[in-house]
Amino acid sequence: MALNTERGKVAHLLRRATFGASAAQIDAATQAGLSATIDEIVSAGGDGAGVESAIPRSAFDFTKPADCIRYWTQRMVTVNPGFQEKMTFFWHGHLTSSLRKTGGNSQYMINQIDTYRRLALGSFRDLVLASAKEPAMILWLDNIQNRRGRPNENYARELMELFTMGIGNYSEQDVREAARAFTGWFQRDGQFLFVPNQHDNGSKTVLGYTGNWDGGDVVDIVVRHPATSTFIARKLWSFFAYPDPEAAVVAEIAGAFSQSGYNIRDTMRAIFTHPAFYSDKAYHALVKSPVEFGMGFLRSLEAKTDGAALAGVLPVMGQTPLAPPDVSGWPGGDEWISTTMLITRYNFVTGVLRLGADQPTYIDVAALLRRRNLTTNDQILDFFVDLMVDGDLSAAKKQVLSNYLVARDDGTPGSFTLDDRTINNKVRGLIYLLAATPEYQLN
Amino acid sequence: MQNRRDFIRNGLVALSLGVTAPAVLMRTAYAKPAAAESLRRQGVRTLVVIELAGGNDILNMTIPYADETYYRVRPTLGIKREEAVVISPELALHPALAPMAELYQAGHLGIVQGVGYPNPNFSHFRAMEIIKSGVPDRYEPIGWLGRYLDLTAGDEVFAGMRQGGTMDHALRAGDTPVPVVQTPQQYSFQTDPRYAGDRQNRLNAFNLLNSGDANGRAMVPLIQDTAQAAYVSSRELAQMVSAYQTSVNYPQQNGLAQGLKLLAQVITADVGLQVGYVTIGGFDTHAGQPNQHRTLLTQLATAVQAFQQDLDVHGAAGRVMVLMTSEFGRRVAENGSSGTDHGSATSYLLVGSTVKGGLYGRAPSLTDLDNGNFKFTTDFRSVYATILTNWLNADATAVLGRPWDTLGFVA
Repeated sequence: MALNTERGKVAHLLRRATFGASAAQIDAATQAGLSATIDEIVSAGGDGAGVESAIPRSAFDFTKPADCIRYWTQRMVTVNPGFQEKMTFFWHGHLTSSLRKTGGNSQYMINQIDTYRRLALGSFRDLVLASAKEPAMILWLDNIQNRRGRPNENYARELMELFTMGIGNYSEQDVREAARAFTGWFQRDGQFLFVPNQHDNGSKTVLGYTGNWDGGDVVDIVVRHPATSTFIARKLWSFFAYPDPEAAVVAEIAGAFSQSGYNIRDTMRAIFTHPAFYSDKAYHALVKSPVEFGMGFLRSLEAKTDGAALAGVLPVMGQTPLAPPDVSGWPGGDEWISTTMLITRYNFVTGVLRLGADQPTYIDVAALLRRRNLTTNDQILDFFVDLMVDGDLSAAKKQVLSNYLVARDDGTPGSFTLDDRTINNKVRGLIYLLAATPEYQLN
Repeated sequence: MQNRRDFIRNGLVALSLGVTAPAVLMRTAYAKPAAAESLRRQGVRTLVVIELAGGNDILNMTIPYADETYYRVRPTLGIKREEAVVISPELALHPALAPMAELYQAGHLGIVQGVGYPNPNFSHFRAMEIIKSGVPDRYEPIGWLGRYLDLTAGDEVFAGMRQGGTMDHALRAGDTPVPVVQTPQQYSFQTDPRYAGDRQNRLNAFNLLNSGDANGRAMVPLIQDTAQAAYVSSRELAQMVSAYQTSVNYPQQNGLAQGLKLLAQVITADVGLQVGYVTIGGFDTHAGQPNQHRTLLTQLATAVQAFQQDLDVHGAAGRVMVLMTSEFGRRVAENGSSGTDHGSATSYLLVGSTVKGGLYGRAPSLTDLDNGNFKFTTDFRSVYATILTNWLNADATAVLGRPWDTLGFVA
């Protein structure tokens, strides 16, 4: 339906590839065209320019978990276009670790995210190997306890089950043997530390390959296993395009992944240029995570923010960055739909819309209207329906919103006069209601 | 028959077209909180599931202290005979479970031993899918309790309830929105207090926007049903919470205890709760198990103790049964990191005056193992079938797809 215009496609791409875009950014990308926008986002890639001066790390104390969460939240809500940051968030939800198990060293999570950001669009093999050596990972999956003669198989199992091949493609014996290859892969004071006398130098057979393997060898074996290409292709597609992709689509993306030498940037380009990415099946087919919901809300409405307003409520909304619920990350999809999760979304929006210009987070609704010269109720309704739900609203629901804009307190219809009270009550109320539509929960 | 959800889906948007004053909506029982009295459903039986997520080490929870093999396979982690709380010639409980030993002596604790299924899965996630769906051989998105609710819930708003942040697979139903509540404080619709006069307009519009045509988007019906359930259940829960009083002190800083307290508020309000579900996580003790496991079991035992006392005080103990599950037990032998790796069979525990206490099922052998793991002796679906048939008076075969032997643990 809506993905048959250039603007529709560009807006769809921006919803998926970034944490949200303003009306002006959608305009500019539409002007440039879909192809040029894909080039700019994927090929140019980086969105780190000027981040350090905009969000100086010196303003945060990374020994405090709350500061770590606030820093990353502010970074995600600030950087443009935000593709690298979104990929970083994807990898965080895939190669998980958590603030809950850093032995009190929350800065290890910031260090790990820095590594993931640096490698987010490079070689998957390099990324997996680096993640195995991240102190946060070594603590999270108990590799610190994985010693010669006393293997701990937690990391080896999740490497195979969740990080690379997926369940059903290896045996319990493969897990036990692979664990031996990671013995002695420790960390000390936030640095990877290989301890030779804790490493098992015996022969191990992993997925049919026998040798004196160490962790790097096992990473090579599992990354090259054909199941990994399929598993990663399916997970990327499900996260960025739509769930339960057709086998043929997965095979194409898996082919792009393996043929590029497991290059993530090339794989993402294959996804964003694939016709199925712009099919009806893809349109508004994903449920926004709380991070996507909150980021998208603030970014699309051009909020001024230090990130704190969102960082503070993300745990209540069910998604704390740097603290996934378990090693499998956030399940997503309809797991994001529960009564309490919807209520906390609505209440987040109410809370943000109440904040005034003197607050660190503020949406200047009057300025949004002024810049577009929007004065009538119909103009205002059209603008926000387009910006917030891509115009994907039934006539009946649009009528509900139109009625709301002119409803007096007793519910009877009145008139619409654009003054401060109308902006702060009715236009902000309209934004609230749009954010509470089922359509707005979709990406 | 048109149920409330169908009415909302089909009826309200039609009302909204061209109508600015949804006064009709305001007259329906739907938008208006029913009087507390009219919510009452006397005598409904409730199952409360406590999930010990992460794979509980059953061997250090219910301890075969009389078997020397136990101390051989658990040389450092084994619970010493003199510390364990003996409840039978074969079994003792972890010292942190002393309150549950009292329940056992009172005949209110049942232990079903060796619970599992053929070809055990050692992945947390797949194992959870299996025990929560009740279907081991394929992926089944609907949970066993969700299937039960689809058969029995009708239009009841609080037929089932999940305490926590996300819906649980076990409660996921085909056509029954189940309230998911983390805390009652967060569970209310907030609107801008500066424009209190506009609040009703917003709530009316909210309800209309969350009804009617899905516009071809696959996820919209689920979101709409959930949004409606959120609206109705938040109003009803607020009434229940304000009406509830208790003399029992639930432990603070104990998430499970606070979760059970919330379920007690709903149970004692008599609103027809059939299934409550709450999770305590952290049982994946690959390393550093002794302290972690003791802490968790202490939380579990003190939470359950307070819950049982509270139900007693409210005269509700006779209509509540508690089931404790976990996706698997752990490896029989301890690992080299003061922990235990993923295992297979476990025990399910049942608590309540509604339970005929004692040991059920055959304890799995500590020596006749499968690759270091227990061989299961009782299929988990027999536990479910017993609860469905003998406690909830439901058609267990309709829920589980085939008949299973029942065990005798329902009093």
